[in-house]
Amino acid sequence: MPPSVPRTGSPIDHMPTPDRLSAKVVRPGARPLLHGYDLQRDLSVNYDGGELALIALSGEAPSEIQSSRFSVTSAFAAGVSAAHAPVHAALLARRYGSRDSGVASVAAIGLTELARFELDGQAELLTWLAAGGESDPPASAAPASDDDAAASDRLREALRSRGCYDRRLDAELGLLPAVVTSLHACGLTQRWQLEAAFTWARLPVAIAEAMAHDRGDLKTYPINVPPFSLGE
Amino acid sequence: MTDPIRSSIGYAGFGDNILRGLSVRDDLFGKSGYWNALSLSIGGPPLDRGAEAHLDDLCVAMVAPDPRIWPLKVTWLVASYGSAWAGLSAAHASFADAFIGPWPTVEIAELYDHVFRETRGNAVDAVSLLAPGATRRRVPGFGVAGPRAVDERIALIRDAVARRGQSALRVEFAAAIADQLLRLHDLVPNVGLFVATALSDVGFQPLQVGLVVHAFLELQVVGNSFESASGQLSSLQALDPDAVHYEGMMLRQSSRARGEASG
Repeated sequence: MPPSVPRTGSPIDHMPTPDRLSAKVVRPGARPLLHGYDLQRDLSVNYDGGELALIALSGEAPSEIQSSRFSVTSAFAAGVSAAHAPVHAALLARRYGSRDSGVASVAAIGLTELARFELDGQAELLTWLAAGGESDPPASAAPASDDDAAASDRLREALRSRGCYDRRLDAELGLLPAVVTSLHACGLTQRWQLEAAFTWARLPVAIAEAMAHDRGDLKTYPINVPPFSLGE
Repeated sequence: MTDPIRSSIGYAGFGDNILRGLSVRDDLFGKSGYWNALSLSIGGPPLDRGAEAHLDDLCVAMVAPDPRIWPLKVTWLVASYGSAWAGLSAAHASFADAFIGPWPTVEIAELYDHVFRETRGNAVDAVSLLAPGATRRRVPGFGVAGPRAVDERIALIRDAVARRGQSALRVEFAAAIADQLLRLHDLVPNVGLFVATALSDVGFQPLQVGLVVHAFLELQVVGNSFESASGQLSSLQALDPDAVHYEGMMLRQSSRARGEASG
């Protein structure tokens, strides 16, 4: 090997750049503020965990109606199972021995992708919501099946029972569009907010399912599910 | 019953593995190297040893391992708790849509292939299509970070292309465009323009270009992630308080803390 070249200057040394990193949402230090609210003296005693997530995402402490709506809707967003790719991937990583944080990382990556993919499919609905949701919703938001319609009805019923129903849910919507509509009514109107809300609701669920599988157990994993047809 | 997932990437045989219909044992091992296998795996062109040597040159020309470079800094930050694998994952997860890393080379390969066909390789016509104006604020493949007059990697890429000694229509096209955009609009080309067009000249499609560039960049992601994980530096795990400036909302009370009903 040739000897190392002597250290020379680097263009990066000469880039005009600030000498401090800015923090915009959480005040760093022993007494952190979240969007200005004292996490330890205010939010910790006045708001629950779900509300904390909503404050983080929306920037404001929610109204009682928004809190109830977010709580109900999160439960309907949370229902990912081993059948869903992110959970399947995480439990598979668990089975082949990944460390716990690796299992959670797989779940998190998969869930963020699932949320992005789902919301890509709701582009027309998001446009409708951004316009106020007064007209008929897009056909793409209609229930895909009787089961889907029944799940939407259960969401409506749950929201009514908590007194936090949003009238835009009067429209004929499948469960996913209804969940998106209800999250939108919580003040989560941006794509990133919605993606984060779905991921937040689902991550503990996915990790729990994955960790319920035995570490190292590949013998009982169905390697041919779903089936592959391989070859030219 | 679910329809089977059809894939031609390959399968595990008895005593052998198959990649895109080729025997690893009989067709690939000892006969071709990493870049041909990678190209096969992504449906790219078959690469002979000369083309593989060319990709070696391009790969080494692309090396820029400074840990302060943004995606590499992401790797350092996430790997700082001791897992190089987590650092790798973070860098990879950050690449989609990012304007640094392999992603821009897909757009560059697509655009310059389109413009090459549209103008039949005429750089003057191409410049009129590409020049910044009302409809285009940014020209893909142009702009370098930091106080640099040139992207130092371009000379190495062009040297690699010259050493290959084969037709390099798209690289020459890109070079002619770059000369004019520099002269007319003071736009400085970056390495993405030349590596993307060099890979197009080898026969890769735009998405494949991005994947090969990803493979090129992987060595520095691996090296940085490994070093950070080995060091587990507290200075990365949590910045010194003096290094962070809070500019968010000042202290305020929630409606519940104020004892107000909140609707």
